[in-house]
Amino acid sequence: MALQEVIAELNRIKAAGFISDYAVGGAVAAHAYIEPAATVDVDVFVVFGAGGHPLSPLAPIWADLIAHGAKVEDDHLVIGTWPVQFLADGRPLLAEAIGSARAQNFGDQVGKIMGPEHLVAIALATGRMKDYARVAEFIKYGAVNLDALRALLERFGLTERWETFKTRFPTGNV
Amino acid sequence: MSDFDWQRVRQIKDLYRAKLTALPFEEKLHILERLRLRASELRGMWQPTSAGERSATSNVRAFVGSWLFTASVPIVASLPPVQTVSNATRLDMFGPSTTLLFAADLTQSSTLPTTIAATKSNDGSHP
Repeated sequence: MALQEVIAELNRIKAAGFISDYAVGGAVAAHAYIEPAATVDVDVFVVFGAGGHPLSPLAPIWADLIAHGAKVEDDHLVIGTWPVQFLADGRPLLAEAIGSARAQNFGDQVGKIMGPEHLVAIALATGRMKDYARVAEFIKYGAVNLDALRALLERFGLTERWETFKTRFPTGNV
Repeated sequence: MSDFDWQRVRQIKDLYRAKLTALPFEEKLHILERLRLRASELRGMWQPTSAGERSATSNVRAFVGSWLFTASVPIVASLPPVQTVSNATRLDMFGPSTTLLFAADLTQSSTLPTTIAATKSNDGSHP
């Protein structure tokens, strides 16, 4: 299973101190809760370790992964067969999503994936049509705790996005 | 009016999707891997020029652009019929949301366009 190679490398660079934490987000994480959907890459949200390069914090991570066999393909690194996109935004919502991510087995590796409420909140914040469609899937299949989601959205100022979503995707009494 | 039972079709599809959703994570991982490989095979028809162009929504503009920019005269000659709009040649071949605009120098004797631009109107599905 190719994804476990990605998780193994993420765990390795975390153990090596390049990052202090990470969580898989996007479609790969979402499929843990809803129907699998085609995706071309793995979105990995990272928190940098101490002592990283202040202007180019991803550079040493890329250098290390390339030294361990990853290939550069445009703005992705390909680990095994999966293009990986590293995202280091630092916004409080993402920091909380990483901090509260849950352990998930990927073959013989244990990785971290974001929880459903944070995935939905990030999808609403991103706001593309496919993100809204994904949110609708979470709700349709009861994959998200609506009370926890509402509290999260309020905390991060996303209530308006939620209302916009509900007008576009009527999902019943949510 | 068709008497096709759309409600029944929807029920069957919803049932199938619900079963997929309920699969164990490991099985979904295999499905995800197969979906990605299939998408990669389809994209093997063309060479992406940026990561953005590799999105799951398959940026048609990029496909057409790379295809045309690498095209030689025989490819251009085999293009579908085109509409001529003043000094540009307009080619509608990828649905209503995608339009190719050839800023071709039609006054030249060559059939090769001097510049090619691909434009794609936003229908809301590709923000």
